[in-house]
Amino acid sequence: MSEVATLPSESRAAKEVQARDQVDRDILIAMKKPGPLYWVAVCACFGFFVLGMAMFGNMVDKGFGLTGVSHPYNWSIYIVDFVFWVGIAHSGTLISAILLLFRAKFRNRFNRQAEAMTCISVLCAGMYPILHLGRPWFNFFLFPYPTERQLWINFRSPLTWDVFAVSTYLIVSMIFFYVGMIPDLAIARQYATGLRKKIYGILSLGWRGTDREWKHYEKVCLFLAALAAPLVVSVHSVVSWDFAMSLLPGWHATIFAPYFVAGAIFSGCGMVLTLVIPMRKIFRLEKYITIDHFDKLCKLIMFTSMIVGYAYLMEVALANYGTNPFEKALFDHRMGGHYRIAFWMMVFCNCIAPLTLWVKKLRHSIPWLFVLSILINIGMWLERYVIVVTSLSNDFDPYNWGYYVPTIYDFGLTIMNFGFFFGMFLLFCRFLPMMAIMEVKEEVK
Amino acid sequence: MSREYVLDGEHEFVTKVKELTAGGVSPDRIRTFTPVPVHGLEEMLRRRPSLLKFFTLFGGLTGCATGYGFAIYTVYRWAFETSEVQWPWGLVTGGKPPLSIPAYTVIGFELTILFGALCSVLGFLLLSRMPKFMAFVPEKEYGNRFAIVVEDEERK
Repeated sequence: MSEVATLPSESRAAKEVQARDQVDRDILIAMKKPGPLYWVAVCACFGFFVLGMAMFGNMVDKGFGLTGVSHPYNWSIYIVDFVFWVGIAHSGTLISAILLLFRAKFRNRFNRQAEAMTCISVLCAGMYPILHLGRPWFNFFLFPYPTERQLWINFRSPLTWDVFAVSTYLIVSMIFFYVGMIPDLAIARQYATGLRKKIYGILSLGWRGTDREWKHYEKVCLFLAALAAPLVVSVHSVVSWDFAMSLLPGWHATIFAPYFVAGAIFSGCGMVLTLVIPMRKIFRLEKYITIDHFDKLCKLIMFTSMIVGYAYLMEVALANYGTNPFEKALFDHRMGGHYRIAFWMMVFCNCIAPLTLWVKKLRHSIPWLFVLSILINIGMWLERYVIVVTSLSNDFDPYNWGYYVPTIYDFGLTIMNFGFFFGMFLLFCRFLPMMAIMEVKEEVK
Repeated sequence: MSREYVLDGEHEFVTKVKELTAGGVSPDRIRTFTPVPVHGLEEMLRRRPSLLKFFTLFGGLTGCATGYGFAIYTVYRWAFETSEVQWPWGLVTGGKPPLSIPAYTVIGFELTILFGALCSVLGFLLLSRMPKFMAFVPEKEYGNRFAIVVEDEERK
């Protein structure tokens, strides 16, 4: 038995409730029953994935010869794709963790999508080292356990660091994604009916928004952000050390870690634009994701683009200034040899095209931002291609040189994960709150 | 008999909480349900600061010790387990010193983060008493309104 007293409220306060209800409805609109076009898009995306997996199956059966991967460019497409997807993952944690610590308010319009993107793209990245094994059923060799002769994996190897870094990253970014979503899942539960209400109830862990829950929730978000921020920097540094710890010209450089981290954030922000621009249009979120929010994201893109441009310039400058003839020969080859088109396209997409963002009019033009985001994605994929393939193709000994020609299998295994990525993102938009509802509501006064 | 107040605005909510506590209602009898976090509520209700930091610290330190310890153990395990071999004997691979602290730092660092994050989440669940197995879907939800429930007995 309880006594309920609903106090007479002012009209301003009543409007506040209406405004918050409106935010819920506007953002949860994507969770309504979608049209057939949505399912066609999901099937098409997963169709590419299935096709790629079929190609992979055939490759396991017949051998690596089906792809262009051979001596001396043994890493080629797989590691290009691996680094590309790990890079894409980075902006998610940057936007949600580092910008949270910096109290950059604009982050709350992008953080949920970016975190979803992080989780999906780490999954995409994780597939490639396994596909690259040739005998993927032996992938457990990567994990730390002793062999029958009591020898352990080598903890001095960058590849072992990679296993630790990427799996930590996957777990921590999933935790971050999920914990951040708990209050929003409770909102979804409130609006859902039937079985869906029960599922969202379980996912929201019975969240009610009590003072005790909020107290610990705010703290856990802060601590996870504080842990995830150095993790972002460390993971791509470790990925860069996969290259930089070797002695190969073009790879053996101390600039690699900061250069890779900046590049990762740059490519990730590009991918956020690619995903958010159509999403904003389809779900009519113009009220929530405004031009001003894009403007701020563009400034981040400009900043990281300039770091990347500086790193390109510095690499070439140091190769020419230094005394290592192999390094100089390699950079001459990169800029003027077999792979020169990839190199100059990379420079155009990553350093020259983003310069247009200095013009306010272009920064505020959504169609241009979409085109630019595609250029950035292409440019950053090419960057990894240039780094991995050119250095392996032209090392110290001309007798050992080669020229990598991708086959249809290389293309198939690359497109496969684009299908997986976009398909999973479409599922995310349908089944989970696609924007941080609670954080948007905090701004409603 | 518990009393329940449902308010529309954050401002009204804060005023009511202050009014109740000033009116002699023990803060331990007050439970609130809010759609967004209300800053300063903890002080108003005289709640103790969150203990979550100790979970994070414990996890981070354990992870760091595990990372370094594990990597070091794998090279020195024969010295640890065989009495005939004298310390500091380690398994040399690639001509590197067995105790390669800079290389093991990566492992130590990653596990610091991993264990720290896992312990933080575990601490969050324990301290906020989630998941609520008996009430995943609560009987009553206040939606976007702010609610104050004054209970008969002080909460533990």
